[in-house]
Amino acid sequence: MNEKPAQRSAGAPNDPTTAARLRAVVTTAWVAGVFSAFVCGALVWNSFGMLAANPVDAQSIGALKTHLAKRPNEEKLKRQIRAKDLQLRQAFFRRQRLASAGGYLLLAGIVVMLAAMKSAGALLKRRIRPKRRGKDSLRERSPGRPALLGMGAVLGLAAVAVILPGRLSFLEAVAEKDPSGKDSVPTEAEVRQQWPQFRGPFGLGVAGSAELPVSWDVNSGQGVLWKTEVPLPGNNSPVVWGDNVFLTGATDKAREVFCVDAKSGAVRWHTPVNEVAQRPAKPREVMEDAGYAPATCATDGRRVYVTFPNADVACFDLDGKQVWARGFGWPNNSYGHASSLAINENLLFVLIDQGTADDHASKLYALDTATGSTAWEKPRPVGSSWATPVLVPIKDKPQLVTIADPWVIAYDPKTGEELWKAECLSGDIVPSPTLAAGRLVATEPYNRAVALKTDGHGDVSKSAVAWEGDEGIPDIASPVGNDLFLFAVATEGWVVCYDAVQGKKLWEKELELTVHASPIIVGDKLLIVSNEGTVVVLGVGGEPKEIARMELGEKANATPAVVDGRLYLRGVKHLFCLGTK
Amino acid sequence: MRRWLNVVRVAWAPLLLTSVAWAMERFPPPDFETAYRLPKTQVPLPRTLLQEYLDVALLALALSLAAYLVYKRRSRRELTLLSVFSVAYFGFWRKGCVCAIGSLQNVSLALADRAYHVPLTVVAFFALPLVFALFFGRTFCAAVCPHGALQDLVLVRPVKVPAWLERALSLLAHVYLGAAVLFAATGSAFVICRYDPFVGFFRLSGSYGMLATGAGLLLLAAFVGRPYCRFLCPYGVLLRMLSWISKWRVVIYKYRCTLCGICPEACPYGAVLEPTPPAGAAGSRQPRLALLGAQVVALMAVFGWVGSRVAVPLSASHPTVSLAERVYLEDAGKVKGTTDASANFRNSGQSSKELLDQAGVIAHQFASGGWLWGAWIGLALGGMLFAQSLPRERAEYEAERGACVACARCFEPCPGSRKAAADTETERPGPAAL
Repeated sequence: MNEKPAQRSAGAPNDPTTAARLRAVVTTAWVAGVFSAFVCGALVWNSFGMLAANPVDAQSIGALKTHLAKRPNEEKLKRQIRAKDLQLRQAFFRRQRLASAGGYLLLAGIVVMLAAMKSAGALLKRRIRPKRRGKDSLRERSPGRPALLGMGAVLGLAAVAVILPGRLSFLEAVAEKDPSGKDSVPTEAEVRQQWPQFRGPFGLGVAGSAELPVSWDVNSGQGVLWKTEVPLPGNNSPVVWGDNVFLTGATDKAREVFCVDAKSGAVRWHTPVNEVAQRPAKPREVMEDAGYAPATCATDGRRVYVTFPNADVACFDLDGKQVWARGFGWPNNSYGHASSLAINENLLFVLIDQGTADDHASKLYALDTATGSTAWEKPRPVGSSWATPVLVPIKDKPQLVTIADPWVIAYDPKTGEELWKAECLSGDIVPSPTLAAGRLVATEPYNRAVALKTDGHGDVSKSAVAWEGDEGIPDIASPVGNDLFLFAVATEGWVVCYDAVQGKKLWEKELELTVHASPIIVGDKLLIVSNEGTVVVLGVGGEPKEIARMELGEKANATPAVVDGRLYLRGVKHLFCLGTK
Repeated sequence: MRRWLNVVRVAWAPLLLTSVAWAMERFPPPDFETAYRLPKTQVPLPRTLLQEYLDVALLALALSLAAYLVYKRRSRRELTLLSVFSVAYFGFWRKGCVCAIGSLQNVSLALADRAYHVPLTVVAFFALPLVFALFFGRTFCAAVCPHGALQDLVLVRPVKVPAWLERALSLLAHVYLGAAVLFAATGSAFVICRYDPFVGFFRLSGSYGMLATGAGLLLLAAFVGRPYCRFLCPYGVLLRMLSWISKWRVVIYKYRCTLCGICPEACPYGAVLEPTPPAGAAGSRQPRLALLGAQVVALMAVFGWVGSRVAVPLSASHPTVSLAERVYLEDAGKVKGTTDASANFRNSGQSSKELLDQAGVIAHQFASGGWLWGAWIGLALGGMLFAQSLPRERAEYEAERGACVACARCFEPCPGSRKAAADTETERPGPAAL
């Protein structure tokens, strides 16, 4: 093996002509290099100038435009803006032309410099010396293995750096909880055994169980399983699922969601609910009777969903951690937004009726319970209302029914498609609808109750009315019914019973109480809670029959909840659990 | 031909003007209170099909010429002139587009998405260099690719990269290739184009970041030969693989190898392999092929799993996933306000659930593609380790098939190329076709 082969020439040129040429090309390379560096510096300086002179983003003109927004008619300001804009544009495009010319100059400079350097290299004719070989083994001349493994490790670390932040974990939150890839939803049977929303399963006011305690004494504690103080006030009703009782409380300064252990009454957790919607410049008034937490929350046993008069909706898991929150803007509602949430399978329904029908501002939203994202939303041709949507399981195809002035509208809960609607109401609609003898009963406060057939399609205003009643019509408490009877309780304490099939009044009874809470049916009993804190139990039948009358010991405005023979009642200060087990 | 070209140009013009006029009608200008007159909208004329065919023809011609210059003429000077032409035409004149490197993304997307139609000229840009590589090795890199030619032209004072570092860094090109195919096939981004370090120079404009990166790479290329080609170019991975099985390969000497050891020093790219001792010589060991094979499979499995996990966060580069993330965060109250994209989405009436479902599908595609990407990296790493362990017998200096870019720098210094150094006057047979 040759170590020092002969080459053409070596080292600096001896020939004077070649040396002179070498000096010339080296000088050319230096001059071109300095020129290129200068042009590059000028281009960088110019680019900073272009940033400052950008007519779109320039701060100087932005400040003037902000002033103009406050004083839109000031002509002097407009002229100033136009002049400044023209100045900036001229400067920008001048610099842009400079940058373009500079780019070509830089390219030329670099080309000349490189050509001179190459020429100099050719003239110098660097001598190539062979490297002495001393390594003969394969391993010694293949040193790449550890380096390759090292590079593999580096790539692995880089992968960890990408994975660790957990970006896009929302896709996992959306995707799976069970092998089918969908979040699990409660079955209808499960829902009927719990008290998941305002007025219980599907919002119809009928308990799934038939057991109801009818005797207790809050002074001695007999029949009182527990009594827990609720720190923040609210007129919303408790909702119950399994061992959890949920309710909200709020003042104008604070609002919280509470989880109470259904067995012991201990507060498991309470979490503040931050405001999402921006407060309007002129704060909306909240009616004193309604309070700051009038709407009842909802639960599906997996999470609890809450809402407040500013139409914020938030979701918490069973440990009290917020999962999501949405703001829909403060509704324009004369008495304050108070519709409770309704829930079915994996959808949460938020009814925001506001203004008048001509304002076209009312909407019904269906939110995905897992993420809060909007599954569908429907504009509604109605004005303000305070009723809560109910889910009517009719012919195995449930209907989500809403009532307001002037329409009763039934939707497909999964898609939001309008199934039928009837124009039959007017006034301030507060009581929620109910189901009685398979008919949807809607009440127009102090005026009438209308029973509608639910098997129509489209506008059934003229054909859907099965019967109407006008006695004992409530203005606040929602009516309740079963297959035979419909019960309505007016604020003045009058209870009226109708034949649910024919709409004929069967009896009426005066309780001598004030009632805002909605009555509920538990088995063959009708439970009514008065504002004074008196609980009256009547028999469900064609004749009036008072079974029991107990005292709560404090005022109460909320609708009760009944699960597994336990009665959950919210007074103005405490949450009571009444029963024997 | 000229008349036909003029007819085409004339035919295009009214169509363009009509479309511009229609746009102006659809969005009528405001009534200016002053004497200001709205300037006419100017639209650049599109490139004609004939010009695109001309580009393909020039590419084929340049490839043929490069092969001729490497195998027949063996002239470094003439290759340099061809490099200058390539930089001038394919680089500055055509502004670096269409290029063979970027075309692999178009082809990837076309294979993954039937709705995407890739022009035949782009397919030609993708395929022609590969076809030439099958026969002549990396003649595309020799003097035709504007990126390689640019780096080659700025090489002033080559510095040797240690072999171990060369091996390790060459893995990056495989990672880049996999990433480029993954992002292109999922319709997310053409990352090769987006992060092309030299296209800013060809267009004399670009973002500060990319211009600075390109300048840095060129400065590096002045000393470390062709850093982009050797360590980053994704298309180079394909050329490298095809060059291993090319019909002809670059031979350093013209007559015979004198074993002088000059060519490894003349090559600035570390692409010359030294002679090795015969098999069974002291210090050599027979490799355990089964173990090496198992190593490759294990690496593919491990990297495949890692790739599937990495790919999901990277799917945020897809506009749909990015939008879904933003909408989700807004709905969850974790960010305030909206962006233009999220505001437009909410006005569109499309449900958030649908958007999230679409994002989930795309993320799933990334997860599946990530498995392939990772397995590819594992295969590349395992293959390199495998190759490192195999004994090779070489009796003379050879240009490494995959690494040699046929720049012809080793030809002139080689004493074996001079007739006087040959014992016989028999030339070593070259490509018979030439």
